[in-house]
Amino acid sequence: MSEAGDRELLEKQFQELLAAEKAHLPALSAPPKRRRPEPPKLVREAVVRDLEGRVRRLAEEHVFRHGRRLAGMRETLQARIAEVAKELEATPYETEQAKWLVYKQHMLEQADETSIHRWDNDVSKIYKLSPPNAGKSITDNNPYVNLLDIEEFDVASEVYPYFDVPATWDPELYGKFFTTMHGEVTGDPQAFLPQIMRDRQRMKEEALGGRIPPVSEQKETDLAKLKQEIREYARSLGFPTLGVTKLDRRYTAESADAELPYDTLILLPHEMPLDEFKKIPTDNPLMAFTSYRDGGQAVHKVADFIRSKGYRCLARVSSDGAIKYAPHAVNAGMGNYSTFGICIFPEVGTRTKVTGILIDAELPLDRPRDWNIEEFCSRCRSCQKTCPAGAIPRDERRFRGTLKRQTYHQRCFEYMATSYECNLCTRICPFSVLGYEQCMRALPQYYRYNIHRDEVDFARLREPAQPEVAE
Amino acid sequence: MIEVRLLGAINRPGIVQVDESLTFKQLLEEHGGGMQRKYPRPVVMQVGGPLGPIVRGSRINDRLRDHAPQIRTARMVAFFGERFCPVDFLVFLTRFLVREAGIDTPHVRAVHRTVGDIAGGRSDRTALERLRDLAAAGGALSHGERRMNATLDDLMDIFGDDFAEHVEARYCHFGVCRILFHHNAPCSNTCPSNMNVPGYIELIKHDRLEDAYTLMKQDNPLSFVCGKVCPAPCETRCRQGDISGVSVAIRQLKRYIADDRVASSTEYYEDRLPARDQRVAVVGGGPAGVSAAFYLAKTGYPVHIYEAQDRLGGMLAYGIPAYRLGNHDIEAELAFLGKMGVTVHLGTRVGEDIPLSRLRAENDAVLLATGRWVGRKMGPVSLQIESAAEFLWAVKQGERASVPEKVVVIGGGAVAMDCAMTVPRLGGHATLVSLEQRAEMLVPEYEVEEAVEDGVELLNGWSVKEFVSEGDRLRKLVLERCVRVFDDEFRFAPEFDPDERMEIEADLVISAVGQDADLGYLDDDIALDERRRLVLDSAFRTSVDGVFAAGDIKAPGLVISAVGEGKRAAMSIDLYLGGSGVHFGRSIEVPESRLDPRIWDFPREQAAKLSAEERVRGFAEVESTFSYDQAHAEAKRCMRCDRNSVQELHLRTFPGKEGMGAWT
Ligand SMILES: Cc1cc2nc3c(=O)[nH]c(=O)nc-3n(C[C@H](O)[C@H](O)[C@H](O)COP(=O)(O)OP(=O)(O)OC[C@H]3O[C@@H](n4cnc5c(N)ncnc54)[C@H](O)[C@@H]3O)c2cc1C
Ligand code: SF4
Ligand code: SF4
Ligand code: SF4
Repeated sequence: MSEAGDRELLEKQFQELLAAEKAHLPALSAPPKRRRPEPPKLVREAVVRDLEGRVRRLAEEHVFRHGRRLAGMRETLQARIAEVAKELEATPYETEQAKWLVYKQHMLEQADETSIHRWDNDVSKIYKLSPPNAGKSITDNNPYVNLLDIEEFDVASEVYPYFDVPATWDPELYGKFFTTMHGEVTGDPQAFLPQIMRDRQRMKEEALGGRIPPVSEQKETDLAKLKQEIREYARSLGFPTLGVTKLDRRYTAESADAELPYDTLILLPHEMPLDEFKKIPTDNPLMAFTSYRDGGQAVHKVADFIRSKGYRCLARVSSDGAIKYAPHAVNAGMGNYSTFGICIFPEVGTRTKVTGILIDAELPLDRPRDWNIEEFCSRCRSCQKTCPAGAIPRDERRFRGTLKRQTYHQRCFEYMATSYECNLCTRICPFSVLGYEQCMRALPQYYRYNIHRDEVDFARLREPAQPEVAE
Repeated sequence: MIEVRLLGAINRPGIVQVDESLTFKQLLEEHGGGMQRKYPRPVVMQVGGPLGPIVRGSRINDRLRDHAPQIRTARMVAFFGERFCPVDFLVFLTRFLVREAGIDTPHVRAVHRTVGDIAGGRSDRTALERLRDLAAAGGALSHGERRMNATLDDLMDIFGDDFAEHVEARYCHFGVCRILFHHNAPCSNTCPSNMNVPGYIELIKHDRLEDAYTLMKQDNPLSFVCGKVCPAPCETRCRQGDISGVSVAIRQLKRYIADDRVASSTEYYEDRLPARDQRVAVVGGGPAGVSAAFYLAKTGYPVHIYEAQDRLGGMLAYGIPAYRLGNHDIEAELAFLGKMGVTVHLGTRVGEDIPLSRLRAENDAVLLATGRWVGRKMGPVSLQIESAAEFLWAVKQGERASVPEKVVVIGGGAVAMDCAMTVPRLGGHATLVSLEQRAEMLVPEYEVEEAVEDGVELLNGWSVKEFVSEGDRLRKLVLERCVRVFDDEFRFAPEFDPDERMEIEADLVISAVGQDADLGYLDDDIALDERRRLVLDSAFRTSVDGVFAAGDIKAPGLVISAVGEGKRAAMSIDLYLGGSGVHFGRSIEVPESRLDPRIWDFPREQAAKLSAEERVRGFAEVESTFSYDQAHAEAKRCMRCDRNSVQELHLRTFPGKEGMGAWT
């Protein structure tokens, strides 16, 4: 199709989208005189977000299918979205507030502690009840996830628009794009993709019930010991650490539910070797692919190991979008969020691609904890200042029920797609390059108490003291 | 024997088995490897983990046993250094209680809010009262909360002034409370004149050196001079340095800009506000006086500087040796004063040539900035014993072009170092005698190394016991071993070992053991304290209306601290004269470019220096300025801390009551 044709098509699709969305909008009226600081902008955000997501997908497809950017097209569409957003801004706060409270009331009545509401594609409904969600209470009580409005977060979790797993590696759509890129950089178009695809293929097949290697008859019954054994085996394959948590399905793609039958998730971050990693940005712009490839192979081996211990399990490679790993890693206390949104692990910083294994066993869970990373980041923010796409915001803001720095993945993506790879935010992160210990030396030393928190007798501290007897 | 974890700013953190009869000091030195070099002494100790009592560093001889009950909650002893900020500690502690300990109560939240307000710059004095009330709160509290109250109490006792500084000046001199930082950067916060370091570093990247120089002058009219002589306290608190271990070469970058500007143009434009008719007199043309005059003149005041010597610059012109700073440099930078309509009366000693009372009568405000020029001398009255001030003055004036063969310099500070390094340049051999050990000297190590290369002999840990003369000629000094300089409470209290003595020969002794201010010219109504120091408040006001003072006259400092005080005194004077704020100059917009992702990999650039051989040949300047490439490479190492978010970190609430309690 010609570029003009592309434009026309996009424009048409956008008009249709807009018409559909507008049909659901509450009546617009004059802007209110008084604004409150934190209105739950769910309704308004939902519409805009929906448009953004779909436009992004249209644009992505065009980039990948035809290997070119549509100059100015995305900007035009963005401008349209901004117009719609502005109209929505004019919705009286009270109207929205009232509407949201009604929604919320309904949700609370229907749901119990473990069930969540998921976004409903039908904007007039907004949410639908989903089956029990094992990881919900972990996230909801995680001190290191800044939830402001849990119900809002439930329906509008950040993984939008993940009804579907994004087709990141669809050979038809993206294969040509990636092989061209890999060929240009390494000289070998097949340097990464075939292996990555093999491991993905295996993951998919196993998830859908086919060709799973046999599970040993002999069960290791001591689950703590099992966890330790997995840890050690995984370490020998390049996974320096491991964490266990429950799947929180607000962080998974809805369409992948069937592929994710177990709720216990083992997280395995695969380490990128430091000397290779340091070649980013000039000498090895494709570091991430090395990691997708090697981590994907290794995680299957760990899964085989687990089967040899008598448990059913399913490996998930890191190039897959069905599970968001960062929030799960934070739930497993393996690290804390970085400024650009992914999890920083003390062992490797962000010099990693995370893989996972769903296991049919109640392995002991790990608990969220404070690694002083948030504190360190507040004094660093180097990633924000290096990002060539301006994709990492300076400040936190309220975002779909949470308070966070939401990296604009649209900007990031576009930069990535037009300049091979980027990864500058991970490259500059001192946790990745200099290591955790060295970073900790830069903080006042009392922050170390967090690291040695297990040595404090909290049970005693929580006991009530005798009112009169001061210690 | 008990097992304790040692932590804090010490060399060997870890778990040790120790006897309870040990003192903190033994614990620190024998097991903890001592404090990290940057912090020679613990400021406070904490026993029993994050909720343990906080003990002043001076109680280092307490025994572990005295605090044994606290060790039960957590077997930890922490030694904290100069980066212990009580406000930030409490922010940390309350967050720790809520999130890690699962003690999320209204009481803990209230303390958290209050200290958060202080750290976030939103508080006033009432915050401190509130904290005191909270610390005294009774009622149904958990053990943890009670402990927190006790810890809070300890902190307010020990750090009362620092809490007050946080709320009144909205300043954290520890360099920890980031939201209070000047220019949002730790280097600027530490700079005594709060220069906009990241701003001028960024402008280097864009080759906008004229703007960079203008920006620097908004906080420091002596940027060129400081580029050469400032010991750069900012670099000790540079984030790049905190993280990678090697700070940005801030001073060298400043020098690069100023060098370019001052060398390439004598014509630069100084904007001024319209002239005003109130007159200000400045006594003393050193850094403090010049800085105040600069800002007052920019704001429109006619300023008169009265300077006793024949040149402006104060200690810059008459103290700091020429191999670090030549007189032509000072003149080049000070050229602006004449252009700004400042009237300079050289060779006019206030008190002799003109009484202070007359200046007071003829001017609307007077600033005293006469520094400290009276060198302390040791030993008998002898022509062979000079004070450092006299010696350096004479050398810089060209009145002393040689020294006898054996010169002994007494003192362990920067001035002693300047004297000692001057001696070989005049053909003599210098021996430096100091009470302090080499590592304890108040001079950066590279400077000590340089001195040794220049042929200076160091006798560290010695004190002068006797001056031995033959007839009226001084011949020898008898030295006695100094075993330690500070006592356990860290007061200056040198101790000697009379059995260990040595003799050294001396033809000339230079005494560099401090200088005093000559306050003889002051009028009687200007109050001095019991130790005959000028009484000054935080706005640089003396006890007398309209008379202000700044710089070394109050306490010995650095060029940049004199400049900073001059600047703030100018603000205070303007306020006193009913002005509407000092004019710092046109505003400069600082661009934001991307950080280089290899920021931690770049080595620090080193400026070219003369070799030891070349150095001792004369008074040629030792250090050169960065080249264009060096400056650009070094500028890349700056993290641009000023661009960071100034939001506070959020402390969330939990849906149920359990929160983190669910996990513990
Ligand atoms: C040897 C030496 C080396 C130093 N090296 C450094 C260094 O490398 N880096 C650094 O940052 N700091 C250094 N310092 C410290 C720094 O020089 C001083 O902190 C700074 O000069 C103080 O400035 P000031 O304006 O308060 O006083 P001064 O610089 O002392 O100026 C006071 C001025 O007042 C004049 N004056 C005195 N009495 C009268 C009177 N009655 N009437 C009129 N005029 C009078 C004096 O002539 C003098 O010009 C050094 C100090 C010395 C002594
Ligand atoms: S680069 Fe700095 S701010 Fe960004 S994630 Fe890493 S440590 Fe945090
Ligand atoms: S990968 Fe590059 S473009 Fe994307 S957020 Fe990181 S630095 Fe920005
Ligand atoms: S990195 Fe730059 S802005 Fe930050 S403290 Fe150092 S010099 Fe200042």
